[in-house]
Amino acid sequence: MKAVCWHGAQDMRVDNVADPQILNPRDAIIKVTSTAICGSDLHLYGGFMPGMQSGDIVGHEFMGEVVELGSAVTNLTVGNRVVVPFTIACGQCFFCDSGYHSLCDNSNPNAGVAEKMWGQSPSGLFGYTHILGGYAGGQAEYVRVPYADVGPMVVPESVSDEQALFLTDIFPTGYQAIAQCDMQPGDTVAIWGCGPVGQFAIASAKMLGAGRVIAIDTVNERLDMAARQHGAETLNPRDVGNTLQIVEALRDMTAGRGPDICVDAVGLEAHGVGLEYWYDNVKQSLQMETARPIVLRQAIMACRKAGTVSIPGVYGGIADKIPVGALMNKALTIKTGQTHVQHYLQPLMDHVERGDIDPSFVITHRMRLDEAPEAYDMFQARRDNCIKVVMQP
Amino acid sequence: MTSHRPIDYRGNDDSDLDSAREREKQRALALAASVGSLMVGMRRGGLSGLALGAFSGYLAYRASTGRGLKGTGRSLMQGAERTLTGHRAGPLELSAAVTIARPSEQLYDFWRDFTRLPAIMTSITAVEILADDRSRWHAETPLGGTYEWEAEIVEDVPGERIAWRSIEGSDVPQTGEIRFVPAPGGRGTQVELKLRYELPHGLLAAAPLGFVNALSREAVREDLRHFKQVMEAGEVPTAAIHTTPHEGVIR
Ligand SMILES: [Zn+2]
Ligand SMILES: [Zn+2]
Repeated sequence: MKAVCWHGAQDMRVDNVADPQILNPRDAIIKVTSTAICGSDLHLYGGFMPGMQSGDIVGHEFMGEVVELGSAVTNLTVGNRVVVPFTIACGQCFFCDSGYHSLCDNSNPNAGVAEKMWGQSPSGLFGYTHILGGYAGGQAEYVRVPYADVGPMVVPESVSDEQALFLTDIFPTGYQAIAQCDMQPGDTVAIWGCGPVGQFAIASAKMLGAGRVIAIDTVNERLDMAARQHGAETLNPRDVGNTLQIVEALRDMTAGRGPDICVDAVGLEAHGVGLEYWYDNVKQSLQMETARPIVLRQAIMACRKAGTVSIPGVYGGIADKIPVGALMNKALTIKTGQTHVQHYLQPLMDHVERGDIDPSFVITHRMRLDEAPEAYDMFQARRDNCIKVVMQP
Repeated sequence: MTSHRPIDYRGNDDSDLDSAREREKQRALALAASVGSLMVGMRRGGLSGLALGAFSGYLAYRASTGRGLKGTGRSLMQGAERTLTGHRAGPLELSAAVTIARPSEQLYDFWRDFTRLPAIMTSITAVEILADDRSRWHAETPLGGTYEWEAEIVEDVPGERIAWRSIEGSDVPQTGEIRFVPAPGGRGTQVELKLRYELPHGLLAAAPLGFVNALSREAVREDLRHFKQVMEAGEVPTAAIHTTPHEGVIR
């Protein structure tokens, strides 16, 4: 079959590889009908995530048709059209039972490696480093899906591929970023990063009753989308300046309080302005830190006293110069984690089915799987106002 | 949490091996053997390989140096070396523990049927039941070396504890104990596994069999992790791509 394979930084190729097989009783094989490139795939593409090996099949946002089932999967049938959570979860451990599916105890075959890195291992993920399992991803014609009896959800006929696809990751990820913050009526939510996850965080904040949403990004097309689609106010750091000036602007916009909830939807590759960005960029390229945590610093500095900093953006290793004094003295709460997709899948599917939201609004490009290398290149360079690419095998 | 005795890699003092030269030789040989098993493990892929054995620290090091974290990685590597080479003749004690969200009786019942253990223990290929308290264990190392021993149960408290020891004349004389202790807050059961190997000629003598890989705390921990995966999720996860299909494990 054809699959998008990682061969190093800036090197994605469409390779011919072996078809996946059923390996465990709870597996399913899915014939992929739609798959998307995620902003976090750019961290792999840029070579920022440790634990990748040449030839790894990438992609964690995919849906398709069930073509084969393991002996223990009884809730699906061949031919079902399903959407698949990017978090691989057994559904039967302490964490899955508690709704923390991205922390599943049992789904990471390389848990021992993750424990060395992070103390404990989160769940396995599709196509996202050997630290998180080394599972083959879904930017391919076929993909093996473990624990198919608890992960994949059958898509109602009235919901199209393009409307369902983002339930795999970015819609629930943006939603969890807000839902985990105990938002109160009238709260102001500031969201750094208006890529797809940021857009869904903005949409979710509005859906969950935020008073105001402030969208922050250096790319004007993304800010336009945030304003047009969700009525967000916008802030472009290129117009405002460095970290201190952004914090000041947010303080001014909220009459001195600061945003009640600050969302870092950017993660480890943040772009900034001035000396701070230069400092982090140099340290990152010298491998002295694995992240450029500019946004995280801004979020902590800007956040209202006793407010919440929510981090859906992906980090892998270490970061420095985190303003821990602000964190402590302002009594901030940090909420973060990979997304517990299985936990949000049904309620969000209901929203889509009812027409409360049409997630396809983020799509800017539709391409063939063969064109993946160009798609990655375009998405990374933000050429042609690229925000979200959907590919069909 | 119950407290665990720290693992003693030092073993007994043995004056024969005490000279610095001898230690260096032992260290070099054991490392060579383990690097050999590393290659075999990588060729084989899957769970039997090094990824989940004594070298997971090394893997983490490799992975982490992809971008930074060099200091951490180096100390992990040193830890792995110590495990493999710091042992001299005498007993080697290993212990590990895991929390499983299942009642202790259920876990005990699975474990007490030793014939099911090859499904979760990487190095065990088969267990024959000879009598109610007697069993014969077959093991294979990543290098392809095989060894076996006969074990007898010395204590058996249903739902709580099983202890065993190898009978005289075994390839690798050993004793072991598994305990099932209710976890606090109704969160299942803490499973504690303790193994003690008598190594009259030191770890070096076991190296040619590739046995060093099985004699690591990481390996014991991985076997317990498989036990948890089978008891909670019904199967051991795998991300293998090029492998022969199998039906996995159903509890
Ligand atoms: Zn994603
Ligand atoms: Zn789980």
